[in-house]
This record gives sequence, structure tokens and C-alpha cells, in this order.
Amino acid sequence: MLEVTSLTRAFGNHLAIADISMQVAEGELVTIVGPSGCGKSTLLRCVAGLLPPTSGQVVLNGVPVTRVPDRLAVVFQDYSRSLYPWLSVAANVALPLLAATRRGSDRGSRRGRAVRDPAVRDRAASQRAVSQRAVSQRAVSQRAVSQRAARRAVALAALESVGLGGFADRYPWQLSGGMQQRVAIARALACEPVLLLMDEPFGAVDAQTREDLEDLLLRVQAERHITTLLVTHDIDESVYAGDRVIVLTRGPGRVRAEVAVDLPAPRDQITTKERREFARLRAEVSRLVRGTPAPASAPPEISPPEIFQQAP
Amino acid sequence: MSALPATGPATTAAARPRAGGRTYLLLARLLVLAAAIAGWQLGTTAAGNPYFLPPAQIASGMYHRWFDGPASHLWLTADATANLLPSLGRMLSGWAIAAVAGVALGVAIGRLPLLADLAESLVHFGRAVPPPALVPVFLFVFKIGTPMEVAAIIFGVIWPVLVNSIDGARHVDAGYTETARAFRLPPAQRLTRVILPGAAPKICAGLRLSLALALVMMIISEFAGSTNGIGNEMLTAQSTFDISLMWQVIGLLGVLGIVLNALFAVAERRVLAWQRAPRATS
Repeated sequence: MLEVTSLTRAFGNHLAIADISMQVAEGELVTIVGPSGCGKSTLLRCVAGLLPPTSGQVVLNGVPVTRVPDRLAVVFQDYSRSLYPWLSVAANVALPLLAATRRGSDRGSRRGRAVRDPAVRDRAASQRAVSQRAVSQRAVSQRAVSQRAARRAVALAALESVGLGGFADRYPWQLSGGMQQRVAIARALACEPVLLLMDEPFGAVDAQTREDLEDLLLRVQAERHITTLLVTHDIDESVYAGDRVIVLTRGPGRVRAEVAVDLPAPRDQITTKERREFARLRAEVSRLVRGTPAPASAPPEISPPEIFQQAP
Repeated sequence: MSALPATGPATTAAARPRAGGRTYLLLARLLVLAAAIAGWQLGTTAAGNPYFLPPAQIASGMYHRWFDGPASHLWLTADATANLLPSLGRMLSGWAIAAVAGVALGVAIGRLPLLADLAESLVHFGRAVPPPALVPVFLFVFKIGTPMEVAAIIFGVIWPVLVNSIDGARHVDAGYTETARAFRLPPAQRLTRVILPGAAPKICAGLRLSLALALVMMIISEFAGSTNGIGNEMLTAQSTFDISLMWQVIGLLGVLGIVLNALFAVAERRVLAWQRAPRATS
């Protein structure tokens, strides 16, 4: 569903990423890992349509990406600069719905798709009826009010799904870092994305919170099957969270290798990481990131029989 | 005006003392103020110079001249409705027009590089001209009256708003604008929910400067030519050697400055509540 072909991006004379090609299947969670300065964020911005590539192209569901595609969501690393401190938590989460409903107001089908909760869908349907019936000023303002209520309902549901049900009317700066990143995840989920991009999303929180957030991501992913591209510099995280790991070389970033991760689901911070398979994958990715060759004794490829073998 | 408790430098977030310390600080400030007034009172009474009046006499004169009216008129006297209200009306409308125009122009210039290239030198030229120097020009264009005075106020006070709005809009955090782009926020929402709030701290600083300047421009424009207003009363005092009236006008201007600044501070605190909050980073 996502196809990246020979993507290259230069800033002046500096080549950030060079000739990157990769494919991501529907519902897959692919992690991209690489040494710092390998152009991970540049790659993600090109895929998001936030940054035009110097050459090569990104195709999402058959459509070349030339600007930010509809139903794309991004979780940035720095929550303090991506959540708006002047908006409440609920308003932050509802913000992308503003784009969705605005665009959907003349094309009814989109709005229906953006809303999952049946109660909200009914309200949306009644809004549509109102909009068809009347064009008076009063009807317009009523519609605005009920649209706002519908957006809020979606935002509350999204907050509930990340475990922040009771924090809708707080402000981001009243929450801890981990909770703020949950808000950012809720905001990404609220617009029901077909593609979720995460740029070192858990890089700014402490280790324990990081594990919780990784598990939150895996749970959401298992429930909704959102195609996800997660950029990280943390090798453990790339193996633990990913269905597949793409390793980039030091700048300019190129694809060094792709490693399939066949760890069984549901994954668990303790038992999954206890597996011999996890240790082996981590070592493999580590060597690829550092560019050191594998020792002769180590298996060069994943050997399927080992996958379900529990660690002693 | 700079020693106003609500806005003085000692109460900024970084150096704010504990609640108990704050009470003492407030008491100490009031004490200094009271001592200054008492000294003024004693000094002028002892000297008996007819040009320097004791503050109690000035205050009671102010009261009887402007604030001794019937309750139905909000205790304003005929003199106050004839002079104080027109002055305030011109000042506030001039400031409001300058605020709206300054923010609109400033945000446009700050966000549109092409417009900035074209307009920036013009802005720097405009702000470099001392506003009072333009009063004769407005006098020439509009003749004596409210339009001249309002125009002089607008032109005099728009520059701090404009310059600060340009700066604020230009330097809205790139993280905020990129997030808006990533979530495909339509241009109108991007402006009202991201750019304007992001630029609000700078915009407020500009508005506050221009509010103080509006009082200055109000008086100067009325000195230059007016048929009513506080400045006009000052002119009357000058031509009739009414020393008492002169001191009353000075006192009134001081009180107005403090009250306007305090009201603005209250509004600003509400609008920028998010900014004073501690940034939790982990």
C-alpha cells in the first residue's frame, strides 16, 4: 500500500538520504532504524509529503504523494512542540478532525468514514439531513454546534482508547511527558489514518514509560491494523515493535538491510525479550546498524524452526 | 506607572516569591507609596508655594471636578462627560483600530515572505518617525476634531503592534506549523488556532506598549487642537493660570495609565495562561 522508489533528498550539497526503496504492506508495522544522522526523519517527512524529494517518489495506495495525503497521521518526537499548549487536550485531539469535517462537508461519504462510534455517526447523519434541508443562518450555526459536539465525541473516544479518558479538559502542560505522547497518539488515531508515521515517538520519555507506550502502540495496532512506519534509533524498540526492521546506513541514508521479525504476538516486554530469537534479532540489527560483520558462528539468516523456541 | 504591583518586574514568573513573601512585598510597596505621598503632602504644605499643591488638595479637586456626579451617571460630573469620556473614547477607538490593523498587517507580513520583502523597509521607516511629528500633518488633513485626533492616535500607536506582530508571526515554533501541515489544517484554522495563539505573547507585548503610547498620543493630539477632552482642559488651565486644574489633569492621567495597564494585564493573563505554566519535559 506504500511504495517508496529510489527516494533521494539533498539539502544543498548535503545528501540526507540516497536511493531508498521500500514497500510496506497493508496493516504492517515497519520500523526504520539507523545511526543518528542517517536521514531517518528526512525519510519520514518525504513519505508524509511534508518535504518534496529531490528525486524518486512515494506512492500511497496507487497515488503519488505530492502533498500531505488525506488520512495520514504523524506522531512527532517532541510532543511539547507538536501539542498546542493553548488548546485543551480534547481540542488538540479534535484538531485534525477539523480538516476532515471541513473537507467532508460537501462530500457526505468522507464524514461517515471518519466516525466509528455509532452514536456519533447518528449525529453526523442528522447533521447531514439538516444541511440538506435548510440554508438559513440558524441551521448553519446549529450544524456548527453539532459538528463541534461530534468532533469532541470522537476526541473523547480516542482519548479513552489510550487510557486518558479523564484528562480531556486538562492542558497538555499539566500532563507528564508520557501522557502528552499518549495525547499525540490519540490525536493520530482520532482521524482514523490509513497510514501512521511515527518519528522517534518514544525518544523523549523515560525507559518505563517508553515500554508502556510501545505496548500501547502494539495493542492499538492489533485492534485497528493501521499501516505504521516507526522511525527509531533504539534497536530493542525496532525489533520489539516491528513486523519488519529496515536498517539504514550512516548518512547519506541508504537501505542496508531488511530484517523480518517473526516474534509471536501478542508481544510482552518481559517474555518476548527473554526469547533467544529476540536476542538474536537484536544482535543482528545491532551489527547492521554499526556496520560490523557477523561472527562466523552466528546464523546469518533467520532460521524458522527457532522462532517458537522458548528461552530456557 | 512602572512600579505598579500587578505588572512590576518583581512578580514575573521566574522571580515570584512564596505566598507569604508576596504579602510582605505588597505591604512594603504600599508603605513606600504611602511614604512618598506623605512626604509630598508635608513638603508642599510646609513650603506653601502656590505652584506646588499638596496631593490631598489635588485629589479632592479631582474628585469634585470629575467624580462627584449623580449615581445615575455613574458618579461622573458634567465636566467628566464633556471631557473625560470623549478623550477616552478617542483613545480606545484609536488603539482598537491600530490593534486590529496592526495585528492583521503584521501577521500577513510575518507569514508571507514576499510581502515582508516589499513592506519591511516601509515599516522601519514608519516606526522611525516620532509620532508627534505627524500631528501637524493630520491637523492639516482633517482640521481640528475627533477624526484628526483618532488618526493621530492610530498612526502613533500602530508601530509597536505591527513590529511585534511581524516578529511573533514569523517566529511561531516550526514544530507547531509542521504539525498543522501534517494534519492538513485548512488555512483559516491554521491562522486562528496555530499562528495567532503562537504569536500571541509578542502581540500582547506590542499591544501593551501601544496602550501606554495611546495615552501619550491622546494628550498630544488634544494639545495640538481640540474643542474638548482632557488635553483641552490642560490647555485651558495653561491659558488661565489654573494651577489646581493643571495638577488635577496630571493626576488623572497617572490614574488612567495605571488603570488601563492593570486592566490590560488582567486580560493578558487570561489569554496567555498557557504561557506562564511550567513546561513539564519528562
